[in-house]
Amino acid sequence: MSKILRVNMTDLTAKFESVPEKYNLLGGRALTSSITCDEVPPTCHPLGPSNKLTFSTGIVTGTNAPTSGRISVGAKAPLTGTIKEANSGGMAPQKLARLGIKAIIVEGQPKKPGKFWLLKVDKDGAKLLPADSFTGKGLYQTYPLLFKEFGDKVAIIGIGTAGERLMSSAGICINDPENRPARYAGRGGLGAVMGSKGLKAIILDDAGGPGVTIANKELFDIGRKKLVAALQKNDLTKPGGALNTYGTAVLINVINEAGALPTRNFREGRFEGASSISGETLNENCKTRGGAGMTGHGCSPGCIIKCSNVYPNPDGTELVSVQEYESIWAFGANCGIDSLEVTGELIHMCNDFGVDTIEAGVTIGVAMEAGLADFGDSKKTIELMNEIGQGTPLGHILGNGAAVTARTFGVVRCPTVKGQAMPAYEPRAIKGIGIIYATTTMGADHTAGYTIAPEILGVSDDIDQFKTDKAALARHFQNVTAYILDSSGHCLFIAFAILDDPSGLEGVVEECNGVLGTKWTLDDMVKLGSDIVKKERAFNTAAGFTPADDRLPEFMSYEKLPPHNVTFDVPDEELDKVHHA
Amino acid sequence: MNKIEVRLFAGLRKYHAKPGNSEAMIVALDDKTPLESLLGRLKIPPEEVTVIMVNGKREPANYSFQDGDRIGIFPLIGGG
Repeated sequence: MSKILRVNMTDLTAKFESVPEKYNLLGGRALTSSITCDEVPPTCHPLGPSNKLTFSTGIVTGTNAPTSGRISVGAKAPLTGTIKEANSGGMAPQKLARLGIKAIIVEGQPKKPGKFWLLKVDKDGAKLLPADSFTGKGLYQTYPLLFKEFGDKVAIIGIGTAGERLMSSAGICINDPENRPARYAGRGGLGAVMGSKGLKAIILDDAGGPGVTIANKELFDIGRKKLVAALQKNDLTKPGGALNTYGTAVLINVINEAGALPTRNFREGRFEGASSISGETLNENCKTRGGAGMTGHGCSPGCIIKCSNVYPNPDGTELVSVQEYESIWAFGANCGIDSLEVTGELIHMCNDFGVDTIEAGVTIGVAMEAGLADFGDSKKTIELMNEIGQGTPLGHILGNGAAVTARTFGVVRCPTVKGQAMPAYEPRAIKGIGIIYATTTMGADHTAGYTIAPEILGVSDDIDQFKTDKAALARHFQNVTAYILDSSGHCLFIAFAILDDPSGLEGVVEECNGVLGTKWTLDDMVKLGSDIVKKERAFNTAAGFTPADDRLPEFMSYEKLPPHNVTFDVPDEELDKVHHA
Repeated sequence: MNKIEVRLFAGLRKYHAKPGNSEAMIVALDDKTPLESLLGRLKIPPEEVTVIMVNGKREPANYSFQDGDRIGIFPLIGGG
């Protein structure tokens, strides 16, 4: 029987509880958001004692379902003040599931501020240990020390110095298969929530764990085989396919061509240096430099897609894993920097300090707007990032994200929604993703409803990128994502293979029914997704959010974005229709 | 005659005049040449193409080229 592990940081206890019946069929985001809604007062301070941090793996995570090593982390977010679910791959999700733990809830706050703890979980139980010798250092130093202490077969969910210092751009880091501190539940500042709990890291040892119970193995296997076939057939997700060969940065050129690659802090939609930071160039450098460089790297075991990479220095030694689309864009086009060597170094810094690459890159773009550096100035960018790592007063401003930095320096061109930095798609040039940014429960977030698929990529449908009547599209994408992707335990990227392949989609439904012993239809699951979004909306409403918060920053309504010279012209009524059909 | 700029991306770069290249190729076309016939001219199998952008916007197969058009041709791609 799976259990919930409740960790109280006030009295330093870790106790197992049985799973309440209402949570039995939930996993991933459905469970983290349910627990946040049930247990966290919406008006609480995100870094105070009343907030709770919840970790939950997806429904099929820990089984041999393909591309399903995902974990959701939930809380009230310091960056946005909204409910938050951030999602990651890496080595921890499957280990947590195989320990028979449905969720870890971290609550309370240590009586002594500044003291940190480790939570060690294995088949025999859970205990808190002092973390004194593991704090105050970069994660490239800390993770090897932790693996030395606990063995290299454990998984680590940890925070860097940014999380220790309670910065709102701090993410939660999970080791990759080679034990790098490289995978992140990055967004919303959940690393600061973990830091506010005095929890430095969770160490998971699943040796001898009970594994995941599958109610109907036969049905599960039927579904799994259908999904495997869909992933292996699709030109994007198959071995040797586009994601495997070029990584997610294969998007740089197409989004640039569409005039929607935010450039120099969202001043323009096309970057003259795009080709130098594209997935094609990344692939060539990995091939020609040899050594440690590789594409087709998997972030968790059992992934068919393997979109990750290890990027080499010119001499073939390892620079960083992973250079992916969002991170490359954030420090690349967005800061006017056209070098993968520089973006790689900056991503390495983010991984080391424990900050979200999107928030950090957009923050630097805003800092450039404020005159702290010129666009394209790599040296100064690295210096600014070092301020975050050193925790200087300027570092604290930058480490609290783009909105705080913009306010501090009086920058009007601040590309955030509900305080969270926009990712790598310009909403003025792609209206549907703008509607998603405005109306998700999470602040500006592309993963809450990836309408780029039909609006640009020709996946699932062909919809004009400039059309504005997309409330129904945005609603449907948000509902489908909330359950089929964020709660099933599958990676978002299976969407490319199942959106145009009914059998693959059916496979996901059957896998979930197989694990849970349910008889849900696809429509039931979309309805469950809609219930999750409604629940999250209710939390945000109780926290003080209104439709006036479901808007993009004003500058996008009057500044025309080249090359298409368009503003964000989706009417407010269309935005309000997303959640009030 | 219209002169257009064509760029090929990802797996389609093998069909570039200099295989593996993403640089713009200048292609001369008769007036009213539809988009769909460009692929034949470049010897790109249509089934390998998912997105064709003209001046930063996807256009239907019957689009007629104008002088100076900027074309991007993509296979099935995606990411996040």
